[in-house]
Amino acid sequence: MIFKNESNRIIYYNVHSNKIISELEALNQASSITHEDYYNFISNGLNTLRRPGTYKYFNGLAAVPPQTLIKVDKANYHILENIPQHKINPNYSLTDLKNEIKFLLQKYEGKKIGVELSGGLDSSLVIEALLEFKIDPVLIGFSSDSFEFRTERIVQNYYKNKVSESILLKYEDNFAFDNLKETPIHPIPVSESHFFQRHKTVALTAKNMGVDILFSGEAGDQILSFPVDVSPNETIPCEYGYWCLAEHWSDQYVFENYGTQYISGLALGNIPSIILSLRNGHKWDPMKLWARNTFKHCLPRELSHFAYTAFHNSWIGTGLTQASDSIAEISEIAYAKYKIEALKPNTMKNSANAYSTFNEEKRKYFLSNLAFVTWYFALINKNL
Amino acid sequence: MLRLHKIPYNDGQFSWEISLIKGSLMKSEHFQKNKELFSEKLNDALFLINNPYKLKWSPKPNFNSLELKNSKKIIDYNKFLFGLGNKNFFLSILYSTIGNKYFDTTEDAFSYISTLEHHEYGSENCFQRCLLAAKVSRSFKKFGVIFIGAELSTFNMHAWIIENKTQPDFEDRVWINYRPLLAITF
Repeated sequence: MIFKNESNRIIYYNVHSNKIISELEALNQASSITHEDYYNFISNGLNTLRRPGTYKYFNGLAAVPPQTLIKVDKANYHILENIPQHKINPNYSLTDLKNEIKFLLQKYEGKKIGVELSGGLDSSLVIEALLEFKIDPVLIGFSSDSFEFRTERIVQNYYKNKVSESILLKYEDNFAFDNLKETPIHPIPVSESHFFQRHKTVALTAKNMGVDILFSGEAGDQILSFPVDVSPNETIPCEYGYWCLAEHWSDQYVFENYGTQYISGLALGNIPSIILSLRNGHKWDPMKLWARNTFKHCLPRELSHFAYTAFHNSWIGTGLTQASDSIAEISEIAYAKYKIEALKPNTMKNSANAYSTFNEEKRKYFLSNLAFVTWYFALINKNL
Repeated sequence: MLRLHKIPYNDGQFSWEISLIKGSLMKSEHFQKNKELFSEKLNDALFLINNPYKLKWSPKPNFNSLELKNSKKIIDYNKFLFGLGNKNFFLSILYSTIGNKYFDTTEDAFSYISTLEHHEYGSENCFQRCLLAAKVSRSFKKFGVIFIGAELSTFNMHAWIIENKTQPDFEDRVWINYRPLLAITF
């Protein structure tokens, strides 16, 4: 059986009643999960909301990403395809890209627009696109005096001088995994919850600055770096759908509470298919050289003539170390209920502190467990 | 002349430095101060590390073809350096100071080395890669500095070269994440 989610929100399918249910019903149902559901969640991995695939139910629930079509059976659900079907067109040009941006921006006329200013290429491209259409965006970013942040600082200062309103928050006050105890209640554990506090800080700042729409540079890694080899007139692969490219969970569960829409500018409408068409045949481009060269006429020299790969290890590693005590507290609640070894408070705390030394697989396993205990804590906290 | 220059860093709580014997990262509570007066070459390279946008950079290799016999020699050097490995830190450095030069610049050397076994993009053999480039480059002794640095939050380490206002390894785009703690000049 096929179900369509034509909305722009995550919706929930219940395999027991074989229908879409409300978020409140999903929350109520989720509160009675079993060990099997825990193991289903762990085997699904961290990306059920952002990667096509076949997944197991979590207490009979499936989170259906926005604008997707899923096939369900008794044991699994499969995210089959994107509802908007954009195609590779070898005739696309930069003029088409500009026209598409112009068209998309019409939707936001009269709204106050902001951009997350990271100091990297992707958000800079979003800012440049807005400036091109005489939109003066509010810039909100995180900055640090640290050595590791020296390149981003230069770009952030460059853009601060190009707009009327901007604010740079302290990077060190907003590490990943901060304030996990306040994570909003949500029906199925997700990795996005790890970064809730950072998004909350941005959402509050956006609200205070009157920002209605906040664009991020999310999606740049996929559409500007990944190899593209799609035949002309073929539909772009599922992983280039908005739901895979954007942080829609954070929009729905964090930003929405503060009255701001959080949108990935590069993932909107036909932009991914135009860029992929322009890049078609290109190999993996980890330094985003195509984008740096193609948009060199508008980018600062620091971005057009230089490339680097920024790590966020410090943000993650320090964040986990700082959060390790609260991770132990949160884990205690889930461990008391499920008695699953991996959720033991001390095990979770030690893993948080030793995260930097873990290999990729061990990191994913720990982050999945953390998503689970955070989810359960939020549920209990709200007395569900 | 081979010289190793310590660049200790104090983060307010701990001092960080690289062991001259083992090349390992050391963290201590004793305040370490740099007592050495650095050369102009080293100071210039450190300035560029702090201001990476001022560096010249080419994302593409300068392809080099070598006569077969020379190519074989470089492959042998490469094998020997990997044989020594990271555990023979000082011996590896010493080995890189001797031997024939096959490339005018270290940038050319990296272009060639990137085609060798163990040097595919993203490989973690940065130390051997830098030593081999320095060993076979004519320009390194006069203009180049090998840096060994660390990402302090993870203890991960990395080696890279700054030479004549360039970061000559066209494939290395991660070096800016590492704080330099030791410099090596020939």
